[in-house]
Amino acid sequence: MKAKVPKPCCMYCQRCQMQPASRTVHDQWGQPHAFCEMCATQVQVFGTLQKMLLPALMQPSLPAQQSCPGCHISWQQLQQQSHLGCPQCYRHFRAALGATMTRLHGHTQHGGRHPARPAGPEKPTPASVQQQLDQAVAEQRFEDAAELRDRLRGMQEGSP
Amino acid sequence: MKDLQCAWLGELGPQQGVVLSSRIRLARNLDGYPFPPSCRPGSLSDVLTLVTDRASQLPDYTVVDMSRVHPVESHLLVERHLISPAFAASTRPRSLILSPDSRIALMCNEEDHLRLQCLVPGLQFSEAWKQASEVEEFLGQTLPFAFDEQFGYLTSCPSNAGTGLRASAMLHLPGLAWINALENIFQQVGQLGLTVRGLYGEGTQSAGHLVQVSNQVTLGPSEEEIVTKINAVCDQIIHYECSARRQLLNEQRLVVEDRCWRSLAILREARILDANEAMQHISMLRLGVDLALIPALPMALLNEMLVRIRPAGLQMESGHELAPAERDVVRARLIRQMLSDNQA
Repeated sequence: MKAKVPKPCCMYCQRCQMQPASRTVHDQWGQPHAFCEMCATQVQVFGTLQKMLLPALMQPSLPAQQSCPGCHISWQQLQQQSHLGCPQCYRHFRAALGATMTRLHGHTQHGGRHPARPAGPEKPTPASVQQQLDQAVAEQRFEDAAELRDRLRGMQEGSP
Repeated sequence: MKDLQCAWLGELGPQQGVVLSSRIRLARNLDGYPFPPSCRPGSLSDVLTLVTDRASQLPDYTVVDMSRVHPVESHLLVERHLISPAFAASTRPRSLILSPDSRIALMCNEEDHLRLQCLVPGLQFSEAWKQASEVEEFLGQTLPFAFDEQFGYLTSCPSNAGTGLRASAMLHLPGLAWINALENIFQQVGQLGLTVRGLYGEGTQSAGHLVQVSNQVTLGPSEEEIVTKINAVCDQIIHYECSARRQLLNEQRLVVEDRCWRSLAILREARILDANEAMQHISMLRLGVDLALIPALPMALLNEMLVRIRPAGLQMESGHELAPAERDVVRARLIRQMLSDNQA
């Protein structure tokens, strides 16, 4: 069902912001958008409101049955709508999205901040494992201590 | 809504002759919920409750339920760059959360669950980034933002993933336009991974020699690297714009003066002004003020004029809906009034 259309009487075109909005176009989610004649025509020709060339960057074809377990959107649908359905889409389509990210950003690896409060289970750091090891030794839990020592050694060898 | 405080309009910032404002925008989503375009209204309402509950703990912030805002008022928010045109037109459950001076604006349930922006006058990216990241950290203490070790902060559109950070500056470049060098600058900006857009963002046209420069790449570089890069590029564009203005003064002073004074005369006397013509003359007036060719006109007045002459601003001014032809008359009257008030 399409959403209620706002009266574009007072509005200028949502795209160019220069001409009065005279036409309403609904996007693929049923959201209304008010455009002038020229912009409405362009939007309908290109078939999408923004990011017109994004589908070209989401090229690799995946089997149709491979849908995201979180929102059940297929890769083919994602290519058409140029938006992902949910955070799980990123995990499910990781390999295909890696190629898209290279084309979009020139990178595939995040190099910025991490959330203040991690959304997933907290990743152990060498410092936190050392702390657990010290506590296990102090409490004479030697089996736990040996396991923690091996884990710490593995982390230290794995780090550059 | 008419008396909405807007720091970027009322105050002046560094490099104000060329830069109207700097903006940092962060996109965030809550883990466990589909992104707004694919999310059912019930779940969107849950997101809205979670975000507004946390955001309302920010001191003196105002929560605006967008479903209760009149279309003219929501368009006024677009004209003041506090919300996007798509957010104004949307019918999803959504709200806007504003700091007292409107520097910080949070759109809840736009394309992403949370779009946080800090908008400041002049060229002040570091300041805008500092303020935006403080608010983001506060929200992130209780809100579980969707995050992935490889793709960073997860956003509805992959073009925003990673840092979710879009830094943009609104630049006034009449000097470069005059010497026909804008196209060249835009090409070079594009080669640096930045993009140039119209005044109201994606898909909008530029008017009055006003453009928005913003970063395109959000995944890979850190937030600080993105901010440093756009700041350096804007500094360079400002340098070229100032050189162009100086060269024009040296070589064609009388012609520049004539154009600026003609624009002032038209704005002081015209009875009908469409948006394009008004923007064009205000642009010349801004140039004249910056070059000290036209005395005693405050830059803040011209910045305010650029916003108040937009359709929703005019309708708020007149108190009723206006047909396009009526708007041109009200616009001309408002400009005459603003200029004569300043003379008094």
